[in-house]
Amino acid sequence: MDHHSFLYVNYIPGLNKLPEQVGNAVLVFLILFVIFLLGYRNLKRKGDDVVPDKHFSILNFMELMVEASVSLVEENMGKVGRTLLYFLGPLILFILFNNLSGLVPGFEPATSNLNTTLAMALAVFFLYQIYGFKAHGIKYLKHFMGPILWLAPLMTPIEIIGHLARPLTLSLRLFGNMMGDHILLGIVLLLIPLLMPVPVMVLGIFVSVVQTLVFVLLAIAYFSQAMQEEEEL
Amino acid sequence: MKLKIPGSENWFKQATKYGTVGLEMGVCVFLGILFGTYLDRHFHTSPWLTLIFTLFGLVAAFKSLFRLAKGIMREDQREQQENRKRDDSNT
Repeated sequence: MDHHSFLYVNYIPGLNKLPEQVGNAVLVFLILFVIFLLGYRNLKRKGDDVVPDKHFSILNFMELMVEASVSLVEENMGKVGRTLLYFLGPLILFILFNNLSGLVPGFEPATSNLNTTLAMALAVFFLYQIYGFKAHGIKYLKHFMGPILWLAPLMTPIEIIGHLARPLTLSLRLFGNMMGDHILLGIVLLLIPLLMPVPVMVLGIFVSVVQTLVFVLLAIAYFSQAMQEEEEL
Repeated sequence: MKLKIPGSENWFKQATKYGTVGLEMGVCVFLGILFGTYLDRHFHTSPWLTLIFTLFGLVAAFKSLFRLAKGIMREDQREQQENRKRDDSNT
């Protein structure tokens, strides 16, 4: 929104040439990379220790994130979801950290830009089509023909519209929620800087987590629909 | 330790599923009109393809609603069967 506001990205050489949302995405990626590098080093140092750390450490945090995403994917897809975790796990982390970075002054979350969310939604879209073709072979095209064969010419454009609406809704939902949250926080900070931003920030944390889960749950639903048998009417 | 995350609770999953249908219906109609106007401009058949594809978009929107309703019905049936099984084992 406000292009003259302070952003960390504008002061990092190399990133300030990029568009704002790309620079912020790279910055969030770097933060995530550092967190997980530290956690990985701790993991290696500890070996196969089962006893958890006494205090909340970076390793605990890493385990928490990984286990949460594993259980989220596995409960909704079963064991097949394990192969999808290489795609969905980073997606969860990236969306969550980007959403939460909107609450830190000096960050403009990449997810409050339609380009980023559309890129992620298109990745989900193409990947679930590929998984559908992998699971069914050429029979996957039957998903687009509807239940009755002689109605297929009528049903095909309808199904294609329905499928194309999916990445659009995915990206629009995430973008709209994060953009709205960001603007609301900015306006409240401008109007009533005393104490009033706190409930808005709590709302922001809630919205960030919920939108991450919604994005990923819908992606999982699309994947499992593509891999299931064709639906009967 | 088994982690309890909000997404694993049933009500939350249902809320996300039912909350998404509104946006999906709107986007379906929008996409239908978009395709229709584009094809009309391409083939110079002014209002007809727009009208047809708007109808397609509407049907696609209601199909997503229908799919959701079918999912609800299936879940209801499963719940009823489980309840019946529990009753049978109790008596």
